[in-house]
Amino acid sequence: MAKRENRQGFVVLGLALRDLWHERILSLNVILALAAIIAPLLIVLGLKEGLINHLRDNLIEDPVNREIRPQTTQDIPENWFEQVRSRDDVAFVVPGILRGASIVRAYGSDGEQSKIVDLLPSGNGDPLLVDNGTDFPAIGEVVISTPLAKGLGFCVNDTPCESALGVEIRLRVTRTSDGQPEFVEQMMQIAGVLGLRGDSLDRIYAPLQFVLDVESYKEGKSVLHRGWPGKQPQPYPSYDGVFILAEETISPIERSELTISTGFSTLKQISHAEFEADYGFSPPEDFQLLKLGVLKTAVQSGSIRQVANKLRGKRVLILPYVNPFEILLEDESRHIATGYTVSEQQAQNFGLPWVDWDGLDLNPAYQSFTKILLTRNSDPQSKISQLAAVQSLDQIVRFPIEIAGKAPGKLALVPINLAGMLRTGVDRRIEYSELGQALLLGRLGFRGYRIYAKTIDDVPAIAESLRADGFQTINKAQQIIGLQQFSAGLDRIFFLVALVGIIGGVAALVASLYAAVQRKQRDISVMRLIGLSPGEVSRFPIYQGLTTALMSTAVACGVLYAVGIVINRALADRLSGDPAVYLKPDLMLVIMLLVLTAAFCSSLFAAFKTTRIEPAEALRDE
Amino acid sequence: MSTIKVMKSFAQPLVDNSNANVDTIVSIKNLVKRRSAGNEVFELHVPKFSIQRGTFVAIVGESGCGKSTLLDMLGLVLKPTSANVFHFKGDAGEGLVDVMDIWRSANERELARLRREHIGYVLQTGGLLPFLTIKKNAQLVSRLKGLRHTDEKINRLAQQLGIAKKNNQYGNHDTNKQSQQDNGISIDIMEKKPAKVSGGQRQRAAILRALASQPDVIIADEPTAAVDKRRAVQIVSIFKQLALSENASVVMVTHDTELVGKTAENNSAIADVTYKFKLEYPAENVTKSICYAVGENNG
Repeated sequence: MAKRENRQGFVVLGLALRDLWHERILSLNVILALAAIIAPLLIVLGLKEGLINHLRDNLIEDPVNREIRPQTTQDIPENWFEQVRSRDDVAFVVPGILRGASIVRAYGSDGEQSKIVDLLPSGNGDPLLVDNGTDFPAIGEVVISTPLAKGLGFCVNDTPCESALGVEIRLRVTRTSDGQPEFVEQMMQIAGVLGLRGDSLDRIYAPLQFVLDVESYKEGKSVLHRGWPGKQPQPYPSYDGVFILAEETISPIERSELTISTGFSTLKQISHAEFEADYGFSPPEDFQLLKLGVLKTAVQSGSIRQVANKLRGKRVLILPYVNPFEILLEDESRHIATGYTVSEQQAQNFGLPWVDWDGLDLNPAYQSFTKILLTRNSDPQSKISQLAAVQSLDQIVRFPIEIAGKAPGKLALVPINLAGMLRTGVDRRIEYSELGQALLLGRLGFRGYRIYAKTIDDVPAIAESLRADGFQTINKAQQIIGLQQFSAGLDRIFFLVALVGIIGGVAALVASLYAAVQRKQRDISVMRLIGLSPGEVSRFPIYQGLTTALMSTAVACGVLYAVGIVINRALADRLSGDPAVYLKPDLMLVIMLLVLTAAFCSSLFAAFKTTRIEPAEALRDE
Repeated sequence: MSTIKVMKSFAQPLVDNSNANVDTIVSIKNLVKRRSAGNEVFELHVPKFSIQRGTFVAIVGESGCGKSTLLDMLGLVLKPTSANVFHFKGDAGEGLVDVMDIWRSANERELARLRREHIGYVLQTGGLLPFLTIKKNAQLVSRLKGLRHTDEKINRLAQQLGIAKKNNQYGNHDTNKQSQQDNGISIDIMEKKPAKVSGGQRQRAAILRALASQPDVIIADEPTAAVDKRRAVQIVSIFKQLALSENASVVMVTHDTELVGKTAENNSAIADVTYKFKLEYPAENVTKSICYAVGENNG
């Protein structure tokens, strides 16, 4: 039965096609009418696809369009970069420093001609370099811009400039120290020459660390791992407050004075028991014990001096303190510690225990203050000298410390100088320099950044989120949003044009097929008479509708192709060879299916009409 | 199913169809078709009607007597109002088909199948599909029926009908079979479309199309209305000859008694059986037409 069905179906298809051919002038009419509707649609769609793709490719291709830079110089903490880096839509981020803070003199291949050049930090995967076909600089390497490469004679006529690759370039960093010019020099290997599209200025892209080293040197600091001399900025001590031990009573007026422009904001009298609980000892009972504290911002030695000034003439001991902090030793023991230092004299005068470590000197030798008293007897197995770990911002600082004995109270004790430095590490990064054997003040975050979004479509969102965080940026979001809007606008126009076209096309096809069935009523009744069922003859207009639509689409494609050649030729220069009119094959397929679906729906009315035609009509002639 | 009573009187064996079985293809008893238009009621009564295999049945009457209505019902395109018996029996061992049953169940597909497999049609102006050539028209019905390798047969029939050249490209083999009659028509119209040929040729083509599906019955409605008398006689006589040689019965409606009766040229009538109509007016606005067989044939 199914086989018979098939045969009947093929017979009807054959009849439908033969009838189209028999009435070929009429059929051609309908085909051309539909093609006249479909062709402009295809052209508009092709233009939209072609133009938008071209603009889009252009935007995508040049990494500069994915770049987001700060509009103004800002202090940016280091951990902010981690945050940005972890975003899904960010492909690359590198910190930046103050413009001009890393200017170096680069020497040419002949060793004589030189240029003053700005250094820019770069790194692994920098799209500005990679997407412009250049390697990014590894340690000891730099990428130089084409103008610089030519200006310094690393390459003369070759483009891309390949003769410069692997060649060493001498960089001189200069600074003025005490009125005297000083400089250091560093040889770097040229890993790549960035094309003109990437950078048209004299510029060197170097690993971030090198740029930071140059910046440090120019600020007068030493860069020990490069052997560049200079100062080593040690962390200044800061405190959460002071204890005041007073032999005589401090009046309420005097007390209130202590919180006026001293940096301290709280003052309270505390009990000796309270003091003893923390430290394990307390001053004699006849001493008044005050605690001057801060709410948030730590104070520095200046504040302590001011308090001392206000209490001048009184017999008081001012004992700086820091809030207890955690310290982790190499043997994985965890200790809560605070700082405590008194001179031998003070200890005698105020009845306090004296610990034999540094005083409050400004620059004590490292070993003299990196000591700790633990709350329990140290394990005899434990080394006297261990690495201690303390949190500083988002990082851990590890530094050697000597276990000096047992603390009397429930808190471990370190010299107040060390405690003060570590307290500074809460607000600013501190680090331990093994080369310098010193705790050093880390850099104060960064002054800029270069961010690259994964795709251009991500740029507006990233820029907007940065703006919400208070970072005004320079980016191509406007152009990108413009393109997106342009594309969306074209989509809408196309949709409207398509809608009108489809309505027109469907109406034309419905009318034409219906009229044909009306006209061929007798033929259809003959088909019924000679043995085709209503279901079978109903396929007649459906097949004709589908065939007509298929032919129309084919004609329209031909028109699209021809018009495409003309338009593409006309716009070839502007679009640098990209086609202005272009339809992807899979989109063509979708259109074909849509057209066939529309044709099928259009023929249903006529198909229904055929089922109403009686075979008896054939017998009743004229 | 009750056996169908073979009506001997209608089943005269023919000279050139001596080996044909005497069997009944269509058997009707007490069929009524009622039609009304406004106040006017028309009733066609067919008390007894049958078609024997290999016979030429003529239905003759003036217009308005209901002969076309009867033909429509025989052609399975019009539903009778009622019938005691309306049986159809094709060949191929299909057995009896109760046509009324199919009509009652409104099984259009089954009706289409019966028409396709058992009935051929010759209409007043041919009833050929205009977008197919004569040959394709003939092939269409045989293809619909699922017949294979019929081209040669179609060509032979066409030659006999005088619309294809003998020994021409349609004949795959030169069978040397001569048609019994040379009609003097040597034009080959097989590759032409119906609109391009004359009325007489078109009717011959229609007969070809009807025969091509190797039907049991051919329903012909005034097949020669559009051609002149001389050609009409020729066409009808070759029609009968071919139909009977193909073992098909013919039911032909005509208003022209002479065409199917005895003529000057033919001393025997074309029709083996003739049905006529008698009009009665039992009430105002009611016309009753009774169909009856005339036993004057073959004599």
